[in-house]
Amino acid sequence: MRKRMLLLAFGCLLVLMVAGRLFFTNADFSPGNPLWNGISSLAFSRNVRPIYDIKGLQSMDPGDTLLIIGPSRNYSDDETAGVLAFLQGGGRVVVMDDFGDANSLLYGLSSPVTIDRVPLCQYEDFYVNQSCPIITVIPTSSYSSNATKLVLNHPAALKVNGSALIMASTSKYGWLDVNGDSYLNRNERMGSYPVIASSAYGQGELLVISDPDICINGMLAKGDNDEFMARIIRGSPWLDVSHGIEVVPLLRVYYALRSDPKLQAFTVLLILACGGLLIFRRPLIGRIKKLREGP
Amino acid sequence: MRCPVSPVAIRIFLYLVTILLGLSLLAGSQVMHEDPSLLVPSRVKPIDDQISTLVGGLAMSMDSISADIHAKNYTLAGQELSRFRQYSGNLKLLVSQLNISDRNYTELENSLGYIQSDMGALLEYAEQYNRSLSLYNGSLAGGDSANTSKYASELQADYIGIGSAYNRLYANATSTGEVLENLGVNTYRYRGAIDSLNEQLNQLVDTYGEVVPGERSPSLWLSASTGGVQGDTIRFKVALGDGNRSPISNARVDVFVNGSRIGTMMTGPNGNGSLDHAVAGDHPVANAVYVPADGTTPAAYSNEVALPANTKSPALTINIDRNEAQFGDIVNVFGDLKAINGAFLPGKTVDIFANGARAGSAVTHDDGSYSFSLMITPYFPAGQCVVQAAYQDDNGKSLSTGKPLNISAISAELTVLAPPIINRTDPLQVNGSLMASNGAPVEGAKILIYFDDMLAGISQTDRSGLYGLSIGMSKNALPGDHAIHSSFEPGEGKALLAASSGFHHISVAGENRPGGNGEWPFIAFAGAGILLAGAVLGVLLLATRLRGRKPAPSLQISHEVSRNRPVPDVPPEMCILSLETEIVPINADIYADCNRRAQRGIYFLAIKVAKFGGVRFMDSMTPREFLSIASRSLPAISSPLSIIVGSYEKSAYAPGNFEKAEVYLAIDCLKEIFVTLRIGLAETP
Repeated sequence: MRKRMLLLAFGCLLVLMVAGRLFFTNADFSPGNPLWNGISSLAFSRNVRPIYDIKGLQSMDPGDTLLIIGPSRNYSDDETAGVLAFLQGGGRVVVMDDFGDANSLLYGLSSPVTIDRVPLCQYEDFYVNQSCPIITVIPTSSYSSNATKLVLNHPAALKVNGSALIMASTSKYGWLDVNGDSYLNRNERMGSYPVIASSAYGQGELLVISDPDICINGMLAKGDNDEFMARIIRGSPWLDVSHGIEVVPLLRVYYALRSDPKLQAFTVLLILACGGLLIFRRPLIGRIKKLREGP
Repeated sequence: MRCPVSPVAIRIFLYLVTILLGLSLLAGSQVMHEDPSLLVPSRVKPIDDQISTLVGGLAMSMDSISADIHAKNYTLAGQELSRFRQYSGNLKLLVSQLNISDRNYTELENSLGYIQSDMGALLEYAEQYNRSLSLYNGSLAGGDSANTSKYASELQADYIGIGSAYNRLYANATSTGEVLENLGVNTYRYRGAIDSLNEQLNQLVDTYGEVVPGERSPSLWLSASTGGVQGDTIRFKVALGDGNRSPISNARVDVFVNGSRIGTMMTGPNGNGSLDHAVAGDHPVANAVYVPADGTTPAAYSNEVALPANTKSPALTINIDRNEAQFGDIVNVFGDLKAINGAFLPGKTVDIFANGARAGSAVTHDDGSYSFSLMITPYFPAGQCVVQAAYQDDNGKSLSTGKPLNISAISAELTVLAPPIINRTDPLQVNGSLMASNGAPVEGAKILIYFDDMLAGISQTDRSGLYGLSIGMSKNALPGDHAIHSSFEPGEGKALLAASSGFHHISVAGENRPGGNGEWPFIAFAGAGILLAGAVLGVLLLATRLRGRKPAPSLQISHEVSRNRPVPDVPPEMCILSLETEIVPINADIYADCNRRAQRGIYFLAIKVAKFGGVRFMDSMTPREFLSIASRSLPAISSPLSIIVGSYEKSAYAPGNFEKAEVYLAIDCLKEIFVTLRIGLAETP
């Protein structure tokens, strides 16, 4: 009896571990990551849905928002064309990246804003250390209330060439950590560096933020990050998970069930069928036996 | 102690854990970030504080060097100079990292370089002076007139060098202070050090006096406190010494201003004396004269000191660079402020007014001139206007003068922009611009913003003529098309005419698309799923219970069963068991020679019969417990039941053969129980 209980507990533990592994992950920016570096809080509070193929943006409405967070793979021409079509149709694309591969998309879009992949620090006005600058979003921009203060985490700077609207910059004490040692050295000069900028594409808008970490679980509650994320999301938010963001299998099932009424109906029918079979298995088996034995 | 889990199971568990860990490996990531809860704090002082500390260090070093030179402690002065270089280097490095223009940085770098160079020269001259003075005194004492003259010449050169280095140091330190102030640095301590430097400069003549070779005439040095205007008291100080630099005490020194004697002072034991006097007049020059009372030594004439300009009745002029202007123009207003004798009055504040309203102020330069840029703002009155300059002196006397200026009104273009589609719950961000017809952006204009002809808010344009406002959407704002527009209403007779934007149409989306985010359908689905799962589980449990469960045989006898539990006084139900029917399968087992199974059947049948007799049987009971409870409830069946239970235990657990005779005996006992209970039941009313 005792041995059987132990085995049962062991089995339950295994099932839980496997199920947990299939539902949770510790990968950066994953909606299934409840740790500090995931975006589960944002994903569940704002109903962010994953999009698995960036070429197929037809399922999105023109008023929706596409979030591109810390991509770790380059965007192909087809994918860039898909994003461009979505933009020109009136969509909003929010690119949040510091040292990832978002520049491949930005170059493809001929964006006036690109990411300068050099660590950006701020000598004064920071959260705990200089690698986490606190910046103020320009109050007149669309995404700011009177004083929207964002707390960044190891951001990069933006390069702005051409017609783009800079919406947030560091203070005059921002500096590029060229040698990456987190100390202000002799050849590193302070200045104001842009971190958020937007540009118009047809009826749509491209918003580039040089730090994807403002939306991770560990940073979302810092400053006005959460409020800012709420402001930049228009319509239904979609997350591009085809460029390095991990979506674990059970989470995929969850999202599929959540958004597809047909699948929901099918699942209900499946459960009913299984339940029915379980309940009426004896009469069914008996009937099958009788049919086999003949009259 | 033996592990209850088999080694195979442990091995499988370890394999699974390894696989899970393998699945958990992070994908290659280019992300750079830190867990905010584990950040290591940066310990940096604010830039302003650092600069302030360094500038304070510079000031302290300058002060110390000057004091050490004064005390003829050249080693310490040299060490202090090294410290100054260090402070200076750190300051330059810090400032170089700030976002300042190259020109400003070069200016600061040069200024600091000049100070270092001046202090180095001062130190060098002072040391040289000290050496020459020793040689001079030695030669003088030894009657070596040739060398006395030579060293006296060197001393004179060193003296001039000290004076000139000190003057340069003062000038460059002052200039550096201005550079720092232009950079926004707080120079309070630095200014204090410069003042101290000035004091020490005045006292330096006591330490490094002028030696005139070949003469034993006394020397007289005059200094005066600077700053001040008409009516201020100026303190004159003198230092009087003989030809050997020894102080002359108790001597009478006359002080003259512009050739007129203003007073006399007596020198103290150290040859110093002072005199306070309120000086009137512009640009006076002071000097002092010492005439020895005995007439044996020649008189001494001091250096000349220029006193600050004073004023009596100034004159103010005004000019403007155009007669007509419009919004966006900058009218240059300029003129000068002079004393009645034509002397310039620098550093005075002149207020500028337009049509009686104060537009700003200007400060006169060294030559008494002033200039002011008068901006024609959107709310500037159109038509004929008078631009005035006004000055009030320290005695409260006012001067003013004016020039006419014609302002012509022009039109402006106002635009409004907003997102084409917004959610009903989101704020509406409205932006736009106001540009004058001459292309100038309009700054500081108040813009009224209307939503469906209702005033929704007021915004103000910035330097680029842009304005923006976030409007909270009313819950009454129905989904659909709406119009927004804005207007600029400066009022009648202003430099900029009123303007109104066109209507901008926006579409307000309704509530979040039902099901767009899959929220309610999903909740409904999840709820239905949970209910369904609960229902299925309930049905399964019910089905299991209806099927009944067989007690698992066990040798363990629990003593925790509630033996004292009272038997409810409830009449047993009418027995509907038929012994003949129930015993059929048992007989079949006996016939098949399955005696043990037959005995088990008898035992379970006995339980069933006992339950009908009112015995509360539970599946968890052991046979002995059942016997105990049944005997207590129905003492009449105790004896036959004990035989059945004993046979059952033997059939279940005892090795070897189990005879049919025992089964038959058990059947007889069962019949006896059955009969007893039927009798009992029949006797129940």
